[in-house]
Amino acid sequence: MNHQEDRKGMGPIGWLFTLIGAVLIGYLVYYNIAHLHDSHGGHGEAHAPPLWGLGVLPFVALLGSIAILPLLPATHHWWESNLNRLIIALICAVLALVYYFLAEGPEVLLPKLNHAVPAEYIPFIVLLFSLYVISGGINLKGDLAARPLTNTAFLAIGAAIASFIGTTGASMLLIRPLLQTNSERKHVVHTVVFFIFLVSNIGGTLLPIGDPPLFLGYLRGVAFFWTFNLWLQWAICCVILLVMYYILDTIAYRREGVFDLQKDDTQKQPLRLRGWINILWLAGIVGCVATVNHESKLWGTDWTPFPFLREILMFALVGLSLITTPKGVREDNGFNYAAILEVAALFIGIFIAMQVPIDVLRVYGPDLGLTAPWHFFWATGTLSSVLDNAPTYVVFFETAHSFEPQPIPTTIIREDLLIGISLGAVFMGAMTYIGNGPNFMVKAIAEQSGVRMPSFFGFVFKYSIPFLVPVFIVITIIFLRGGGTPADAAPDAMMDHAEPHTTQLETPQSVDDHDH
Amino acid sequence: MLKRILVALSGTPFTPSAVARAVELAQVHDASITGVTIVDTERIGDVGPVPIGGGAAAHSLAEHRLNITREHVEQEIANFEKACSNAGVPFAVFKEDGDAFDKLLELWRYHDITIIGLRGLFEYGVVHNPDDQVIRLIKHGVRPIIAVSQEHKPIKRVLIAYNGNAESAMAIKRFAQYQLWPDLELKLVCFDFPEEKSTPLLADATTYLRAHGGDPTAESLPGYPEEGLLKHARSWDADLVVMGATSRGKILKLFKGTTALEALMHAGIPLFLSQ
Repeated sequence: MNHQEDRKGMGPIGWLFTLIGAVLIGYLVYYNIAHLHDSHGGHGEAHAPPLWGLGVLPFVALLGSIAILPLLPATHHWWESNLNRLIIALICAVLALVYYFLAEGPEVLLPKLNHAVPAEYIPFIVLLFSLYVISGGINLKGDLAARPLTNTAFLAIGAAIASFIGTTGASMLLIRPLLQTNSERKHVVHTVVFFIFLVSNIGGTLLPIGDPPLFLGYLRGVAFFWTFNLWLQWAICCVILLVMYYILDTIAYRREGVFDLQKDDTQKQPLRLRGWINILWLAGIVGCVATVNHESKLWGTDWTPFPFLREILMFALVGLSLITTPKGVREDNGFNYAAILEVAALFIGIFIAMQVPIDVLRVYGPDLGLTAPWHFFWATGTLSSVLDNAPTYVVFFETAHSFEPQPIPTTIIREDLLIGISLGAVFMGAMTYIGNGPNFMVKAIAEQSGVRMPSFFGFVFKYSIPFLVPVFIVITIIFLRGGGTPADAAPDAMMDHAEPHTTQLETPQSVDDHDH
Repeated sequence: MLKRILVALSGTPFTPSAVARAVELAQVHDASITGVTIVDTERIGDVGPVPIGGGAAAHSLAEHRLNITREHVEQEIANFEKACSNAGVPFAVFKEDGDAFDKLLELWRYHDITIIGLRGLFEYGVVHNPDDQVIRLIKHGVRPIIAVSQEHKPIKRVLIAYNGNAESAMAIKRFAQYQLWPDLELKLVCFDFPEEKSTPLLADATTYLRAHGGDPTAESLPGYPEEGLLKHARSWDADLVVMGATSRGKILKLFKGTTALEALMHAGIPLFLSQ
């Protein structure tokens, strides 16, 4: 089935899947609420399930399918259908559950599903959906004179707002006016590449809504505003890259033809923002995520919100966006739901199949030999370059968790490791077109606007390695050199260094200190 | 004598020059031209690895690439038909889908010579091709080939590189037999040979060319052809270089550098190649 068929409708199988999915998710939501005070899958005594080598296979198979099936001529078109993606994701999820059933008995299934779906998948996908739909209702149009300073300002603004509207939202908002501004110039490739570096990735460092892995950290107990602690790393990285870009673009500007520059100077159009009301709805999303949590009191009140209120409010904001956005804005943005449906289809499988590797990492994490922040930065980053950075973040988050004393207190994590993991997942998503969703979207829009973008390896060898890797080395030297002896992983050492080296995080998933 | 000329309508900056050269030769030889466009849909639709959430963008990009390619193809065909009609040259157009090498090899069987650009093959502004497409074509069996530069100049001075091996001998033979252009000034050169070897080598080749109506001068030059041939082609102001086709793999290039042929291609000197 291709996209044209997708547009015609899902067909009876699609509707059957949707119905079964809705019933299952509805039941899980009910289970989640009914077992609010029970421990989640991540609590309690950590143990690796028996024969876990078999149990991680569905997760590996799913990631492998995502990487390989689009490239094989035999499966290339088949994989274009979100229904087919969902089928593969669900098969892997079911295989992981069958493994749990056989290895640990039926009683673990619902807790595992509860942890994977209502506790993580639903908030994750609702947030992404909300940001995607609302930011898709903002359209910026215009054609400024494409001078190096103007382009640099575009990138700087994008890097500044990406944390607040998400890297995808910021990318989709700014890439078209940036390309329009540069449409008269011949040397534009470096501008798009640095846009991917700064706006589609690094810019999203400062808030959990900036980049999906950080939101998963938030769901796992990292305080909403903790990511603001990364402002210095974010700022240094952005400034270095902006300076690099300014120099490159100044050189490129001098190489432009006189005729092109004259044309650029005459064909100007002031910037015009449409759908600005959505900025208000985006602020609402930030407010929802920051303040509405069913396991803590609403800020400034004695009232504890009921479960899924945050998600209900976000849906309401999406509804407001759809109602209030002027007609034609989303069409001008080339907006459709295909991308978010793809994310939704695949991540249901990822979140469920990921439970086994998480269980394993909780036990064997220390054996991986990762102890220092820079280990986590580079390991998380390297994998985030070629895999989706959200599950990669979770994998290394759980590895870092395994260093904690047993039984695992989910509210404590070594802050230096969390910094390494967060920076690695967000920064190094910029290394390739596949490190983060918006990277490829930006490349596709640029190519459709006539910019001849480098190939996958061209991007890596001509731009990422020469420009990004040195910056990451600088970040490593300045911020991530500390810690890093195996002893740090020992419970006693953890306790000794608990104050300086660990951070007390929010407790949305914790029940021990719940004050209900 | 040429009777059927195959020209690749590749959608590169070299294509107008390739068409002009084909028309020129068709007029000289009273030949017909076949213009061919080849769209490799699999290759054009291959947008590389795609991240989660990028599937729709990938699909849209692949469609865009295919549309752009089809537009370029139509434009190339229109330009080709106009050039042939204006010159009063009989022509045919083949619109093919599939692998460029396989399709060209099929068509080459019924044509005397193939004309393509020095770089880029059926790109239509969409795909990137490595620079060794001409050499790969020859290795696939499509030969002889005239590889043209972007600039279309009359061919008056032809430099013939000869080192005595089978490839360069075949190139000389084909070039002499075809007698592509009248009244050519020919020069035979060989590199890095001691005099006792170069003198008989050049003498034999000169005799052969004279037997086919040419009157070449000959010179044995010091140094390696990798450096010397391009320099000499420039200093002698050659309009075309005749030579056998050789190339090196990437690893070998790293240690030994590019071949003389690759250096000429990179410098934009038109070539007559065979193997």
